[in-house]
Amino acid sequence: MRDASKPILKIENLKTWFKTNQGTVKAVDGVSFDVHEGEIFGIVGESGSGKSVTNLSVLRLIPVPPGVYAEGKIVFRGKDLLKVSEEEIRMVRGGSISMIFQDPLTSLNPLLKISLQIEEALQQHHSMNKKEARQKAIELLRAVGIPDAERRMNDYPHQFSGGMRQRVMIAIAIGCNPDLLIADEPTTALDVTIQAQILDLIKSLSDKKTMAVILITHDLGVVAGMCDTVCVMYAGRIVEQAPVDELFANSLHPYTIGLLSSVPRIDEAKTRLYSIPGSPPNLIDLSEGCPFEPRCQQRLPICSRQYPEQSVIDNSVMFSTPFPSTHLVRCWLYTDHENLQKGDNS
Amino acid sequence: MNEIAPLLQVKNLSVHFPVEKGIIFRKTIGWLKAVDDISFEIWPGESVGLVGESGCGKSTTAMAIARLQSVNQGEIVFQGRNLLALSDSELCKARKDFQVIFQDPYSSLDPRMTALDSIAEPMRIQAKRSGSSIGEKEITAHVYEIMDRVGLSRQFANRYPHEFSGGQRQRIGIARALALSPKLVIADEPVSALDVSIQSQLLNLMKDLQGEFGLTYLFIAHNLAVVSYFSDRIIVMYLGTIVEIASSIDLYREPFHPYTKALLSAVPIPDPKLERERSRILLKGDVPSPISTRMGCPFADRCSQAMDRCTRERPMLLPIGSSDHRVACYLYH
Repeated sequence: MRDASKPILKIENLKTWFKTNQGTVKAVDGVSFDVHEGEIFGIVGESGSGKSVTNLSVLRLIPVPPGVYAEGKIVFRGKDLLKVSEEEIRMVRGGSISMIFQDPLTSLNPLLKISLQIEEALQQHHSMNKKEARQKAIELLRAVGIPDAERRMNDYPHQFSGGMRQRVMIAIAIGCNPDLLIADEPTTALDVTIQAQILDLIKSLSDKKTMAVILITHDLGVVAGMCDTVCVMYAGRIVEQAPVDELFANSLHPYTIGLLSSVPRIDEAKTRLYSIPGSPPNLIDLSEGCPFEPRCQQRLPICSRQYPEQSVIDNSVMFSTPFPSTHLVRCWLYTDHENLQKGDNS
Repeated sequence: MNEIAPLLQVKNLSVHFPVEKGIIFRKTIGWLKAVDDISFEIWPGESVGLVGESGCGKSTTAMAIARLQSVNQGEIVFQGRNLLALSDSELCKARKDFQVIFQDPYSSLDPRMTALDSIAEPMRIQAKRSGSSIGEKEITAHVYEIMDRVGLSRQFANRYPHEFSGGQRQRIGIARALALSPKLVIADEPVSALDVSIQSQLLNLMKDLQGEFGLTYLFIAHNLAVVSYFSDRIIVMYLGTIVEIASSIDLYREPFHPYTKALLSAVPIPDPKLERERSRILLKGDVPSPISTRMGCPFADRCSQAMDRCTRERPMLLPIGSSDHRVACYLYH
């Protein structure tokens, strides 16, 4: 049985930096969140907000150097993945945590039949023999909805369409019954009707198993339809996190609000979209203050000097979720900044 | 409305690509019908959106209209003249009135040219062609004016493309398209490569410019929400054919073609409550290969309401009642 209150992945104050000649790029700068069993956890943000780097860090896939895991913990099944040996992390990758990427063509080996690519992981992690692995691989292809699975096993990646390739990737990813599936923009390269098929598949897989999913996307529509909990990232930090209903009904951070009102919606005829002025900051030499401050319409004097602490907000809407439902926001508008300033002075 | 002539009329346009086999003796073994006998018109001052999934022929249509793609059949009548019948020098002059904004702001700018040169180039070419005596000074002044208009600071004029962000580069692309004060702007996925917050900045900019310069847009995108925000009318394409044309409000409120219905239901809406209540029409399978020859409706094999007739004859694009809403489906006529 799944236990929705038990976190299977706990990220605490993760800082992943890149040392470059121009300076240190703080791609991820103090990110903390928990993912629970069976939960679909969404991470939204624009390019360069650190959403991919956060998740690559979970599997230690950031090349070191130039990357450095400067601080923080990634606790999975009681172990800090940043501290375990190379051997151990290899067994986690593709075993209990697996990942699917945006572009299924570049993440499959073009020279190998897909049968080999699916069986490889099975043999590696489950010490199956060739025959068992093949049988299991066919089952997996059927489970992800590839017609004529037995015959398609002998095809090469180029013989599949984009949507089918992503299904193959998912088949490989779920082959070892992972506890956590990280899906990094899994449908960005696909057409909408195919996107609907793939998202439907991911959702049904997470419902059937106790698998948790981290879904990284820039599409707020996808988040609304898929996720239980959502966090919004900006310039390497989480600016707001809440259950999906709460986030859409009562978004608080000016960036979240701006983002939500700048997406055109098919069900609304708007004459004019809101747009956030300016563009995302350069991650080298960020100021001490809030990185959104230069683009923010509601900035306060303190915003440029100090980065706000996380505040916990009472949920404003009624909804039922089996997962812990805290609404967190990092913005001076929701902290008692005057008292804090006094405290600083004393 | 019929008293004004359409700005652009596309009549029975077909673009076919040969499918070849063999390395030395290349033989054509078939034809890929990227665009297959489509007709539509664009009225002055409107924005027409062209949507469809990859491979449906929307970009090929755009490039054919821009005369950047050779055409097998049909007519492209722009301001009363068939662009396909013009000589090279006449075409070059006519190009002044239709310009293109490309999808990828990274590869559509010459990395060795400054922003100023990129924006000025169309003016220089046209000046040379028409033998007009417009000087460098005037060109530069005009470039500055346009840069102001699209939100690029003048001090960036001498920078190179790599020094700009994606959004700024696309602003250069827009400025370049506007340099000759065109009548028609063909925008091929102009915001697809950009982040959400930058995307809305540029969509708003393009809308503002439309009012200011009296532009007519042909706006191509795969994102239905973006297209319906931007366009007055929408053309839905599937496998090289037009399946439905309607005003963007009608298309969302009352789509007729089964493909349009499926497409609309697949577009995610950023509202969790709505998303849970919506029923999604999941299409079976993928878009079939456009190489195979088919007699009937291109959507017939994925359509849940397909009839016998659908696989035999191709439905015509006909209006529903007396409205502007046109659909190519036997369910309605």
